[in-house]
Amino acid sequence: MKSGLPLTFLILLLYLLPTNSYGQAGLPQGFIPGEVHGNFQTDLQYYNSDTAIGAPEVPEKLLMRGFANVNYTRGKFSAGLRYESYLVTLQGFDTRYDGNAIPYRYATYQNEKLSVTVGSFYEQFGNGLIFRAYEEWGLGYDNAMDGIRLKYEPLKGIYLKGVIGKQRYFMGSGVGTVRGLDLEFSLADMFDSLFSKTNIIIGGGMISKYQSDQDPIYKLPENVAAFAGRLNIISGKFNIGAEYAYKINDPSAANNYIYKDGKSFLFTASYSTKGLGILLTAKQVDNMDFRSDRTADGSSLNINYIPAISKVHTYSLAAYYPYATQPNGEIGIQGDIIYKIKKGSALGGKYGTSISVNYSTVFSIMKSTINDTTTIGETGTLGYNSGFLEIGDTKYFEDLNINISRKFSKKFKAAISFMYFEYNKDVVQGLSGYGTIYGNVAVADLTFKLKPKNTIRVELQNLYTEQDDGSWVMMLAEYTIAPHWFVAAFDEYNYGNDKSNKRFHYFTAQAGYKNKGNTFTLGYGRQRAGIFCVGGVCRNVPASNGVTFAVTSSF
Amino acid sequence: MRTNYERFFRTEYLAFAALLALVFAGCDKVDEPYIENAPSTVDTSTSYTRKVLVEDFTGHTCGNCPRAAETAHTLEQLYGEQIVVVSVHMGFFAETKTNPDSSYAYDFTTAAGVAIDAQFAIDPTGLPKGMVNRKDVGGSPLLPYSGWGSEVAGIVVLDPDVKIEITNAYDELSRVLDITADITFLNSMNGTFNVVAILLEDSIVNWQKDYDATPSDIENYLHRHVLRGSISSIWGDQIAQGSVSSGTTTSSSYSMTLDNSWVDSKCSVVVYVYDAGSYEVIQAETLKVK
Amino acid sequence: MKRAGLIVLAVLVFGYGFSQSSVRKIPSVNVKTLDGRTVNTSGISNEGKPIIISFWATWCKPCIRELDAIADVYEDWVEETGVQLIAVSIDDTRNTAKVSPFINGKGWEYKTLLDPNGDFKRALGVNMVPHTFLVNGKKEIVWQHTTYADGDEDELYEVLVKVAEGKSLK
Repeated sequence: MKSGLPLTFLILLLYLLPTNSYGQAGLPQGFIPGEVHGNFQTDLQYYNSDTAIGAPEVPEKLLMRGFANVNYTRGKFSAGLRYESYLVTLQGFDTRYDGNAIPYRYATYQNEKLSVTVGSFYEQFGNGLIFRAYEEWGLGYDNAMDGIRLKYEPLKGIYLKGVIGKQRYFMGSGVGTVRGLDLEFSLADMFDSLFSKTNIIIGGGMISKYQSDQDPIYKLPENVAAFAGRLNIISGKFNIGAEYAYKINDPSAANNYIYKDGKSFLFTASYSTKGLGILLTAKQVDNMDFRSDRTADGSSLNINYIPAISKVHTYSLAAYYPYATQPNGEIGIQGDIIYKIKKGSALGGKYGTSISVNYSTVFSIMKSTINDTTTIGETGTLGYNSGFLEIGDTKYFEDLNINISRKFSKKFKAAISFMYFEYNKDVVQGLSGYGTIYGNVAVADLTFKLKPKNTIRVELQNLYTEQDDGSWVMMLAEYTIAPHWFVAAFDEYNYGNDKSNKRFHYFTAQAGYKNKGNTFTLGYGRQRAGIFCVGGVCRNVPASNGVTFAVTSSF
Repeated sequence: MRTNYERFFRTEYLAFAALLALVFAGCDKVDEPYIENAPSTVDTSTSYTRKVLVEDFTGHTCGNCPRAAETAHTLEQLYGEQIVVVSVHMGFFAETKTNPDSSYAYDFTTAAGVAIDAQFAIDPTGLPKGMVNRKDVGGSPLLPYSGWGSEVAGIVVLDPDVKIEITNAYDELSRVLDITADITFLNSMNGTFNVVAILLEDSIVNWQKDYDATPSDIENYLHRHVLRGSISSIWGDQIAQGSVSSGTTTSSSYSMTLDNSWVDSKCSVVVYVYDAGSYEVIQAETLKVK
Repeated sequence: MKRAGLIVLAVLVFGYGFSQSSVRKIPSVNVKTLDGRTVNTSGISNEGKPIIISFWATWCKPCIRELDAIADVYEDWVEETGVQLIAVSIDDTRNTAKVSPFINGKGWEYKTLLDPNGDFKRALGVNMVPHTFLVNGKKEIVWQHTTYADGDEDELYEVLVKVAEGKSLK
């Protein structure tokens, strides 16, 4: 067990800590009790084989993934761990998450100026363009750092962060080492009176990774560094931010072993006042896939995070074709307007009406050959030349969507959404031959309050497209009895599939109970299949049919 | 007590400074040429060397898999007889299709491939993937193809632990193949060791999806060193257990009838010895059927 | 592996021993305000009045329904109990720039904090959003609930009134 030593250290820290001088009523002076809190989640699924939709026979029948976080705090010290269990992990998740382990454990000392963490930690510099360690349980993604982190605030408003460690790789650690520094000045915090109306934040960071080179084919850089600088001006109703990142030569599996440098630029500007918010975002990414192991594939061992600048859709059919950032190169913009028509006005009605409009589009970047004999992106060369903010010919994604929501009375609320999208399936999923999918989505979301605590919510969704699997319709009905119970049923129907024998219904029924920090959800039904691709590696997430059970708890 | 902490954390400030220096130093700019000169390989005709098993897990509808095959081919050119490549078609991307143009109708899968997939849970992690000597690389032996080269480079320089000599007899009329694998331990070893014999067929021309090609469905793709099946049982036979002294020899004989559709002149036998505890392969050897 | 299990058990047992004898305070981590200042969560206070800490995200439909529902009655709640609602956005950098326009566009009156790195979320053991905590005048967390169903705000209100009057929830 690899985590044995740090664990012992952690437990020692917990129990050998000198006590603090704060007193507490009823307890001896000098004794401050610690607190233990945490949370817990487990997802179980029982699988039936369902040959019609292609749900395979699962030999174990019952699969499970779960975790428990336990955090201990006592004065300036905190320590914690996460126990994770995959017996065997659910279908569609990476099977390298396997068995039981404590992959996450840490101890932190923190005072007013300094915070020291040993063990696992999550952290990010700026927007994450060069560094972000984070986890998304729902996606099965976790690139936690394992090492040491220092955060130091020498003067009010000056923040220094230093990190060094190895990244989590499924149940173990990646081969590369990651180290970095970040410095940020927040002028409003530094000079309170001068910057009371306007805050200016200036920051910069660098990250370097080390991985030895034993590769017989390429001459590889063992140390690869990336740098980023950022500026954020916030004044009254305006907020303008920009970040630029640069990476030196970093040949890797993700960029087909080219030796070009990488660049990334992110710009946001917003204006907002009571009842109105406007946001503009622009982004360019050029060869910025940055991992602590140059051979890594899929979504693993990423050091940086390049946010996608399209809206996160949550209605299931609107989210059917989600865009993912193409770290090897893309350029795009997003505009977002949120407006509330006033309460009591003719248009707004008694409770007001919210309208939001969102538009985003993403293109390839312009690439040109470095010389006559080298093709663009040829392995073992500089790859290609590219400029700054030069748009290429291929459209990767476009999304225009409008959402209007209104409360008509105490008993009835409604929200309607429309969306037009273009989705370049070949590029986003790393495939070929599928082309671009053009589609429209319409959603109606209606809430009827029957009694003060009993509510029915109905969703009607339609996705219209002539490409790929064709059109879908989705209907959902959800009945909630506040504050403890809910039941829901929904059906997704692929009525527009070209092949009439593939026009399946995917019906699911769910029921749940929640009390305070605990929820229990039981479901039964079919889940549709899909090929899920990240960075040129595709995973077949099979269709499934079965019973799901989930518990989450926070204590 | 507090001063103790302060003293402790003073040293951490020093660590900060050290880190700063590290980060600034952490920048290696590589100049052209970016490609290594060919490694100095050992002359396999004069001395017996380590031979590495590279398994390439693939499928005919896996459009990224031809990249892995190209990498395997590059490594073969670099290391010659020191590596033995086996392409194992498996999982979702190896399923046969009933397309009108009869593309992807050919079944490349084998019982051995299914068993390997089940043992190492390969398909759910996505293809292409591979293993180099089935050696554990961070909790699992699975490696993306771009990691194969480094792994092979680290192993080929080791002295061999085991010598494998294959002899065969092949009857072209009955298509019966008899093989004998004579194994000599060159070092004293500890563990349980199994021997496996498999059959490959090279240069099968059939459909393959390739996302780098236009159109992406290639009718005449050259499928190299395709696993056709096991000659021994799938996980082989135990040849030694416990402490095995240097010089120990064993001999295993197997027989197989080649399928009529296989081109016998393109077939070869691969024999490898692995540690049954860790599944790590310690030596591989290959010989053409005729 | 057995050892690791034992350690977890030990931490749980000892930990519960401790936590039984103590109250739950707001943990101390750094978050950002909408104007870019860094604040420590242990400094959250409402002059002896209750606080609602609600974790949400711009992409979370139930969160928005909950905060919309509370917005309709928020003025009354403030008047009756002096409560302050702090909306903690867990949006990552994909959406942090959107939070301010979103709050304004919705016309919400809540104090808003940004937790893009999830430090506050992890410190409070939040699995998913929405997750709402109620903090009493002594800055002790006395009640929490997760997910949202229409009408849940009524339960929150009942508990809030009790807490504002200084009554025990047990």
